[in-house]
Amino acid sequence: MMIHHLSLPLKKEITHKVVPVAASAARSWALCIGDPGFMQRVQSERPDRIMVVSSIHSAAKILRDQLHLDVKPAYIICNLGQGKPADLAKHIRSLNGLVDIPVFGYVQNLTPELKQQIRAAGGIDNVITGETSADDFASIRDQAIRIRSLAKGAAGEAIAKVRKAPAAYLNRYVKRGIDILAAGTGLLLLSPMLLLIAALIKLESKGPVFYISRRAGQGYRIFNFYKFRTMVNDADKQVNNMAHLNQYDTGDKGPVFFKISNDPRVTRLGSFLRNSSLDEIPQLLNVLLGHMSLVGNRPLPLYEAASLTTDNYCGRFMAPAGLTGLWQVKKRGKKEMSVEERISLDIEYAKKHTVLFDMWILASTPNALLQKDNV
Amino acid sequence: MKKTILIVDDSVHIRMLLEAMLQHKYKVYTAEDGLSAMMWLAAGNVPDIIVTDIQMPHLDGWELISNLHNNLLYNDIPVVVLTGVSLHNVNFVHPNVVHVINKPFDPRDLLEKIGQQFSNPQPVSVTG
Repeated sequence: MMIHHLSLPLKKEITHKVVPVAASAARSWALCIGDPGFMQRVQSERPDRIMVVSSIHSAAKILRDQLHLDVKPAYIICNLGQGKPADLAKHIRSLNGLVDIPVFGYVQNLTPELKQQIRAAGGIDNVITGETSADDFASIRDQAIRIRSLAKGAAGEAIAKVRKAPAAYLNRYVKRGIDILAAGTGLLLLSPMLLLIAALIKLESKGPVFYISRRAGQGYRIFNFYKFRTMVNDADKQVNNMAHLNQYDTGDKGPVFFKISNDPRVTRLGSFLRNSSLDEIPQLLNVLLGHMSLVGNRPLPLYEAASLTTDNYCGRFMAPAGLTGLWQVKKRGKKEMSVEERISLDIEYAKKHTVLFDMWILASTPNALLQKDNV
Repeated sequence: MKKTILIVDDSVHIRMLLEAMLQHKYKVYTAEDGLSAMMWLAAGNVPDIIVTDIQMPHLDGWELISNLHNNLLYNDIPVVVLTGVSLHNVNFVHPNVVHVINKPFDPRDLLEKIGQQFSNPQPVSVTG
């Protein structure tokens, strides 16, 4: 093992005096692995005390010995010109107790290939090159020391692909099974009535049988949402002229919802379909196609959905989109239901939905369908 | 090969939403703050783009961006800032930041901007 003495002789101190120094000052000493020429350049003004060793192996040995005494360098810097960065990182990071010590690499020129190698190997916090100035190095060093010491204090590194618990999968498959069975059977049984309604819609006013809109469901998945048409054909184009009738008070900011009591655009048949909620039945098709579930949060028109993508509100998109849901059951038909209340019920559902909870909501839905207000 | 996106946001719901939206097209990783993001990078992971919030505990978005910028290993990673903090009054010019999007945001807008960055990369200026 070869030890150079640069700005301060360290060999003696390591065994005798380094302990209190290392514990008290962040920049007490640094470990330099390999040719240390560059250290003099980047350390011109206020040199850190540097211990220089010639190889990774000697470095590892020294670190092991020192760690035993609970003495750590403030940072480690390694000339990468001589070895493979992967080896260095592996060696150093494998030593317990060094997680909070930044490791820097030095290369004269950082080629794209070398950069790729170093990044993929991991364990190296930053790289300095022949162009790094003393000031640059000081800020690189301080930033890395700060990150590493913060990391030591943080509870854990919550980096992961989001994984769901097995119970969540079971719940999802059972829910999907029930959806397919119920929606399939429902469509089949109701088909004569659906054909009749379709014919009546065609007879009453010009336009298509279905009203198709783009809605955002679970995970903001956007899909075609089917309803029987209950309004005159160009109803959507009239929305802008009717903003003053909106029953939701939204102000300039915040969630945007649009709903009008006794909307003049609704046809007579449409009014009946809405009151009886028969206009919603085509959504069984959405359920069958997997866009929606029987129970969930209402899939929202895109202008409404986009207003809910904030930290506080966007939890509502975690639940499946549904024909019926918690807020319909709890508050349907009451004018005083505020947007906030509605979203918080959506979020509540997203947090705790299970197949059993769904059953309860389904069972409570018929009552909720008897609406008092034409909305 | 699928491009890799790192989402950095302290809101679990935003992380889940973005993951749900992006996972069909991209390989998505999430971090709950800038510190976890830095540690994830240091462990040998390299995303093709980072989408980060600004207000976060431990290490906020500003610090994360500054750390990336000062790091020769990561200063070429483009960053999309997605924040509830209104940045209208901030003179927000940073070499690594290719887009700033305010919450609430239209997810289609974010998807489009990420797609744009991959198909027609806006270079981040790499300084030594």
